Amino acid sequence: MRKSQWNEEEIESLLRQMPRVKDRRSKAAIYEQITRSKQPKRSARIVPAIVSVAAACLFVIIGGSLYSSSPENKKEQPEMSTMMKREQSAQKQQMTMQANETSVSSRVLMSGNAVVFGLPDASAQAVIPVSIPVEAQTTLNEQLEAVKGELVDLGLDAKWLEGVTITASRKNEWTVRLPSTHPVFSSGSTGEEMFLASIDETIRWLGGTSVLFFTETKKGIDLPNTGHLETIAISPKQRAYYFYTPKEGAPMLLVPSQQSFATIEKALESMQTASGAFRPSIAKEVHIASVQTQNDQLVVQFTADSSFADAASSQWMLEAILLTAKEFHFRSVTFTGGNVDHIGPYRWNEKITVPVAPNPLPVR
Amino acid sequence: MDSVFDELYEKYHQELFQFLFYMVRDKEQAEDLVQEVYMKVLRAYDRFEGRSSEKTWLLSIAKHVAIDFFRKQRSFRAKMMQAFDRSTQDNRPLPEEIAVQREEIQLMYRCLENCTIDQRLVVVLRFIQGLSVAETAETLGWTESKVKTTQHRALKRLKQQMEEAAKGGWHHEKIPME
Repeated sequence: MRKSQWNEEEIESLLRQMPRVKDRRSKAAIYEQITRSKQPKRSARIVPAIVSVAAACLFVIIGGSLYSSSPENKKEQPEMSTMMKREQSAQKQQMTMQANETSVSSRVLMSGNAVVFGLPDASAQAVIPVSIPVEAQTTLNEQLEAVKGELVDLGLDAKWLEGVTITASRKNEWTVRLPSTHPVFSSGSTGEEMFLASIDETIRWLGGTSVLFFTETKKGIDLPNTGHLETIAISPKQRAYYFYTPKEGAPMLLVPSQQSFATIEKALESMQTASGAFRPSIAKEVHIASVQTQNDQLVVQFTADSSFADAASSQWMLEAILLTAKEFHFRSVTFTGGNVDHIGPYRWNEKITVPVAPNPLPVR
Repeated sequence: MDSVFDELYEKYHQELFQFLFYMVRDKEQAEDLVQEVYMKVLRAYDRFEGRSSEKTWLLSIAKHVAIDFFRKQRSFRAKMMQAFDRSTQDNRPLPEEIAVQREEIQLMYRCLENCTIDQRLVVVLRFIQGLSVAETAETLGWTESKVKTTQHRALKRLKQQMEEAAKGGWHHEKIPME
């Protein structure tokens, strides 16, 4: 006979007795299905995200699926938040020479959400990813307005994103729409190259693997030097990060290599030997004794004779290593050795979660 | 095989599957959705910043996948109902895991269908998956007090449904979607 009166405890208890239900498929079978469904499907659902960029009025709406926010864990990075709030002039920062100071401004965003744009510098040497933190309290529009002037101060060229609309179309595929008056159509071959590299960098940070171009409503873009282009693929890369100062007197920024490296060791080596427009992000006086990987964790051990005399470059070196580790899909980095217990906010022998994004604006 | 997939599978697969099964009440559908969860997770894994636990992070992705499924199903259902004026009652046979259980469990399974999606999320996470109020709040992105209120309403609704079923006056109420 059915029980006719229930109390909430009995309901709870009955719920707790609901049977375990198992997936009877094998791990291999599931993995195979996942890999098979990864192939692009025409019917894939449109990602509810639109990014639209214009020089005068940058306007961005990002769907929750891309940047799901989670509460900040203040316990993990107590120094980071105070450090990032601290206002510092670039000049003062250069003068900070003590390794135990914590006042160097960071070149990485360690928590929260951000939109990353790849922008070429005015001298067309490199495309630099800069990130704009997305905070719940202020709209991205307001934040963008606040940092706009700074792009110029940094020596970055924002004209390439004038009037450009970036929209998610399908899984990992983004549509980039240009007005017919866009400067790339009359910018020469270097300009075209820089523009395409900017789009590559921006879409790469959005997690995209391909781009569809439109000129207003017409498919494709006609670039005088490159030719007709309808789509580009964003090839997966594992890059190293170097130091780069786009403009004399402007702050140093972290830039990714154009080259992809097979191993993190090779990437770190290149960070010590970078030449040309980029400066090595690992100083000559710093020696890496070993690099160990444990699943998604990286342990970087410095030799005891390494010298971290310059607080700013030493901190930015660690940040370049953290970003490089992120490129190689590591989730955390532990620094050991080198006879120090911390540099800036980064403590030795503790797992440091890789950053969210490079070069957060405003850069101080 | 991808090492991230391998690790996540070993640690959480059956839990994710069970959560999705009790949400969508269909094993085949849960199989499809769990795959969708992995695809999202593998793409976003480098964005997991360790600010929540891995388990609640995965469950929160599974929740999004389930809600997306309901949204699609809702518009499909609305079209079907317009076309055929059919009721939304779940007349499918019980899954075998449920069918072999005693009658009260079977009834409870049926009653769960009559909770709102939010209520079902809380009931499944709290009592079937055994999460704490704090973990449930983290998974759903809610405050703990919202979890408690929703839980209270869900239990009340289930109690009422179970009692009605006992009286033989079982009727299927129209399901509120949110």
